[in-house]
Amino acid sequence: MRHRCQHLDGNGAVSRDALVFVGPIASVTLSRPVLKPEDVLQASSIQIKMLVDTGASKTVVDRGIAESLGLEPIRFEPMIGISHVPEECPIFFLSVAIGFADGPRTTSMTFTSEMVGMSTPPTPRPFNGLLGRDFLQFVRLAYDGPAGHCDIVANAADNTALYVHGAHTGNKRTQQRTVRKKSRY
Amino acid sequence: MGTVSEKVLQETKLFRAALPGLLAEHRGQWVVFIDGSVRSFHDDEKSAYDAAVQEFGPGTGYVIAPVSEMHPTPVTAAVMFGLSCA
Repeated sequence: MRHRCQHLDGNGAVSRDALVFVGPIASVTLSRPVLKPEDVLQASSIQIKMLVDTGASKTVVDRGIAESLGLEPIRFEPMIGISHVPEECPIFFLSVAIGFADGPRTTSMTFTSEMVGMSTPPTPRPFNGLLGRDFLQFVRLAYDGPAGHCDIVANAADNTALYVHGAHTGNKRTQQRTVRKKSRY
Repeated sequence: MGTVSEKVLQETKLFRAALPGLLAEHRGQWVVFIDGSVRSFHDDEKSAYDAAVQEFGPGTGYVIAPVSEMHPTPVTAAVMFGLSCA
């Protein structure tokens, strides 16, 4: 199963330049942490773009987005930004859903994860957060520069996601199952 | 009375002050910390979150934190590499 990060130009063609200058951008859905599988479909959520950043140890999100979900921080941690001076940043606990495709089959995997909330300048930008290594530890990355895309590859059998929702295109059948065996809620 | 976020920041500072005394016996565990003291210990973060929400409700000013030393973390490696061409 893979989530493809690629940029299309005005003609609908894959842009290798955009992958170089903007980077691999993933579309994810953030929501309040889901405690039970049935909560996944009911939680208020927001869809955002996040840059896949192997240089970031922690996943970072625009603080305003986390707060728009009604979340409060679970603690603060010192983070070093461009000022090189540690600043206290809020840590949010939330769920991240990513859509994956496996041929005609589409699946959404939900991970529950910490994110660092950071204030960002109000200038337009192509992404609202960084998918760091604390999230990437659950998946594989396949960066194909010549083809102009980067795939996030996951395997439901890895037991890394909390919940997997599968939908087969065509008949709209939906499956739901919990895949984390150690932590079932 | 401050915001929940301000309370969490204050509780975070109290937790850091208590951390040296917790490390010897609880290193690697997760805590729910509120009003200046540990409310409960847990094996993982999700269990701690569940317990905190069940007891206090979502986002009411508690801290959920690992019992481990806390160090400043660079947002991304590019920050540590440098941003000046001078």
